[in-house]
Amino acid sequence: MKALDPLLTSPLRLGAMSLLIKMKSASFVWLKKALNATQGNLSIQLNKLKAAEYISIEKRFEGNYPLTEIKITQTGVKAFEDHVRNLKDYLHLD
Amino acid sequence: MHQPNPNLIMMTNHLSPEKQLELIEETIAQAKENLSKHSFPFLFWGWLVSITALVNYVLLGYSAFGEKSYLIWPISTIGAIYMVLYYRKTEKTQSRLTHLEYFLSRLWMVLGAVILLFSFCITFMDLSPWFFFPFIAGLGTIISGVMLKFTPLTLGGILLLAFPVYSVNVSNETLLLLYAAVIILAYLVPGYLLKRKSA
Repeated sequence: MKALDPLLTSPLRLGAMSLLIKMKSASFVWLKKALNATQGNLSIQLNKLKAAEYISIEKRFEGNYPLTEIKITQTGVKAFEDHVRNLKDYLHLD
Repeated sequence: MHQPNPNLIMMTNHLSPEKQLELIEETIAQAKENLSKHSFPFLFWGWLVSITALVNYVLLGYSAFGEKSYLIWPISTIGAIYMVLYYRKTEKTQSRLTHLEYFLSRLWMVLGAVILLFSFCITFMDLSPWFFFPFIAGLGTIISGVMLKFTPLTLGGILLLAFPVYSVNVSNETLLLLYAAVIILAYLVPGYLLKRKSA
């Protein structure tokens, strides 16, 4: 049985990945609201996911407003799918 | 918006495998597609084309403009330009974009571009707009209905796609009335049903 990915066992990181898997892209503000997270904590957790190349974070301006856009990467999709499979194996589901 | 269970979204703790699966299921359910959001293009086209077709019918039959009063195709072309711009703006400004929203916006942008290309070609080629416009619009509507898993829209798309077949023996003036009726059934009815759907 494969070990669970420690990056995805944290609730906030796992929650963010579960939302991003369904999205082409999401703004930081939307993600913060959807996860009921604080700005600082979400920033820290997203940077850990970015360091592992699970997500990409792009900052740009839309009109006069800054927009932080987050996308899941192919590496992230694979890591998430593997994680779900490993969880099911661990719990003897399927 | 439904908020995730705060007991699950803790600051630093790691979750048990059971809780992790529970969190994934809850979060994915929370990010469910908002169907009512997809109603706008169908309501826009439904009203634009049905009213234009009816006005066109009146002008054609009861005004001095005669054949010069064919508004339906130039207005459909302007509508296609508006929709391409609408989707581009929506993609840029909305706070999140699901894969389905992205797919549908690209689909309609491509079909809009095909309609524009066709509108250009029709000026020097012998092509029937009564075949092309309903066919392209019907194709996009069927794909949208299937992707959204919304049967009234799929049926509306089939009705539109088959328009060139069942309208073959209808006179030019009556075509406008028939087209208005088909657009009401294919776009407005499913559009309003879709609008009532919650997330």
